[in-house]
Amino acid sequence: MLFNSLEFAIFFLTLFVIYWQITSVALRNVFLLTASYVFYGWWDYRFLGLILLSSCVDFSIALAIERSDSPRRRWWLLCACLCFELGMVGFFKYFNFFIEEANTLLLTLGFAPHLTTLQIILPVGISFYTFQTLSYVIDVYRRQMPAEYKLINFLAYVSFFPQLVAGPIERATNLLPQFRTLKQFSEPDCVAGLKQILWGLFKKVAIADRCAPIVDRIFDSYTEQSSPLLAVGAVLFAFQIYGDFSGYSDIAIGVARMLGFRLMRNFNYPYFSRDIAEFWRRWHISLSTWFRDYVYLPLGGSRAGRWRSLANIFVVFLLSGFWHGANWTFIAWGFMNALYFVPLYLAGTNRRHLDEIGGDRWWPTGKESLQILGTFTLISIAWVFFRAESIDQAFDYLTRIAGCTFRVPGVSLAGDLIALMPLMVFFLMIEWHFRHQQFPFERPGTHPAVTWVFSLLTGVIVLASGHLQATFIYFQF
Amino acid sequence: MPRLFKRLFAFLMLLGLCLGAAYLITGYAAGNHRLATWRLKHQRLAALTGPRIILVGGSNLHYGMDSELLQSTLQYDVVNMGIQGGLGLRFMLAEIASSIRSDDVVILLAEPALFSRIPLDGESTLYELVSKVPEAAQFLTARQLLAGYRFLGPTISENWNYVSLLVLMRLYGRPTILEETNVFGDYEGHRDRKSSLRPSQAEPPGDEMSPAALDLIEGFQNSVEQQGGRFLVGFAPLAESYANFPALRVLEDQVPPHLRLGKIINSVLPDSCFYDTPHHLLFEQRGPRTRQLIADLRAAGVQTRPRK
Repeated sequence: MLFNSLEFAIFFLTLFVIYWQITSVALRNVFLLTASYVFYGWWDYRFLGLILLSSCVDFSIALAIERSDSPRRRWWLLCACLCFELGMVGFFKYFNFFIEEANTLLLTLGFAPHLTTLQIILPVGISFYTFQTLSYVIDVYRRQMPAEYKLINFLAYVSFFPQLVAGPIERATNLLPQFRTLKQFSEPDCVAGLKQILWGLFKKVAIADRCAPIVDRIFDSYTEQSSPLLAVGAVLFAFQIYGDFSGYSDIAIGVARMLGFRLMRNFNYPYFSRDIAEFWRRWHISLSTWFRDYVYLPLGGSRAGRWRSLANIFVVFLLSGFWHGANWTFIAWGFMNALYFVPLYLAGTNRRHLDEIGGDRWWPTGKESLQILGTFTLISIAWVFFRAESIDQAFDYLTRIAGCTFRVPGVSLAGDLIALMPLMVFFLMIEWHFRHQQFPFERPGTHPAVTWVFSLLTGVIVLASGHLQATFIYFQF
Repeated sequence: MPRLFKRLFAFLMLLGLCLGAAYLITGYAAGNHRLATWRLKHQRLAALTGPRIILVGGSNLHYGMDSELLQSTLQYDVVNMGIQGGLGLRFMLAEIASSIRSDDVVILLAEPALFSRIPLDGESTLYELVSKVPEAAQFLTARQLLAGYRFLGPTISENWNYVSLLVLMRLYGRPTILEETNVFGDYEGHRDRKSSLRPSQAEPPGDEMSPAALDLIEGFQNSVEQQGGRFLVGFAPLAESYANFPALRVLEDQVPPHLRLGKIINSVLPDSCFYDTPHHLLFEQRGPRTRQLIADLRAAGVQTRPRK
């Protein structure tokens, strides 16, 4: 069930009305759990068993950790949990990748390998909910939070449908306590949630889904395209993946807010970043902070000496790339981002831009514009690796951009680009104007008429683009 | 919660109005679209005074008919109403039903898909047409009008894309399809163009006539005959690699014999005769096809009228 589908609209409207009629926390959680399983089972009901098993294992292990006073026993329980969860992700997501790579390696070494791959279907959202439950068990192990004693609460937390399949990867410390309190209906929250859903839909269907066919056409025939068009393809992919993923996050946060839940922010206008370090504080915040808290800091972070810290940075970025999928292109993407980040770290300027960009000005200064442009260029280059079928293809694509070949694009492709341009301008202007808010239209003091006009305009654009109805890129991760 | 739903309802109502306005405004801006040839064709249909040959069908007619040759040979006034199959059979017949006069010959030259795969009530194309030519809405049934809400968004999107394309076509100095359609309603912009049709690799579809399509045709036939006209059903040209011969013969047999015009096998031609789709003939293939139609019409008893 896609967020940008009529079936989800009907599903959510029904759920919303019933949910607020229920006056008991326990019943609400049972209802939410059922709804979440229906939502998840809509893709493939067979994976419901997997999520249930994963949740029950983590629930039991966390309880056992909490009840144990033996550090050794607690440690082994944590290891068992990590092995189970990471083993599950490893099997479903990386098994074939490792088999294929092992075959290649053995072949190179002169052996005749007979390792066979399996036909494995990747369960939707497995990387997201696994990381979510892992953080819970680790937090319990660290005694940063008490274990949850009610299974229904825990199951509802893991499978909470707005963020189940593509995040934000919620921490138990933030989300789990929200399942213990009886929330009161709040109209302002519902209206704010609706606005955020609307903006998320705009980013998904009007930006990402309109960029997608152009990007596909350029990447599929990149050997026949001119340099400027290849550059346009890379830039549009940057917007496609941002619109797609942040659009999903906005819808998820908005939907949760309408049910009285507060999810963490996942994107903070990342393309207005002045350097890569700032970009990574603004992009996929729930994943980057997860890696910071559960990988980077336990490895010693930046306090483990210069060389060790550098190694930690590379480990985190490479893992972040590998988390996205079993392909060298994702690892190369992570590696490039590490390369971008390291100079800032060595110069001690990676925390230079902690202030809000642009202050209260209407436009960025010349210096800020250049910084934003430079950062965006670097990011777009890295995205080429993310989008390409192979590392060779990515290098070839980038070489062709640098080759400076010029050709007038066909009328059809150029027409699509012109059709997209006003939407992009509208999108960037709105994002820039509301960059200090969590999402557009949230600015206090905005005249209601302005909000209505913007909302109606956005609604018309969404409905005019809604028929494209493509799936979300991050579902595959 | 009731207050929230009231606000939401008000927003949705306003959104509906805005959507309707955007539908018409973008349709007006895209008024140069090939679907706008509908207006030209209807102006000609109304202006002709003598007995007429009215050609009805999809884009096969727009691209592949030499109406001038047909008119000069048979001495009937000819109007080519063909625009696109997506308008659906019901609309194609309804839009001419009230204009038929005594001695008119109405010829349906339909792509096989019009009888089965394309819904009788038409596809999104129908609502794209109405946004560009609002007066076309008078030929829609109430059910078709009600079904239109699903196509408001996609049509706005299509219009928006077309307006962008139009800007480029002006920059590139290229004429539009509307501008390259002659007074009879025939497209001429593919003159001197080569075939870009790729042979089909897929299993050709089998199109059988749906009972509803047959009812529609028979009902229309009665209506035409009551008004003193004649109705015939022929077949659109079809590229060989896209033809499912056994299915085509079944389709031919389903057309009532007294309405049938020509043999379906004669409409199947080598792929090299087609321009860009398996129904769009190359410009130079329009003449032979029209001559075949004339021969079929004569065989069906439609003779050359005395010269005016």
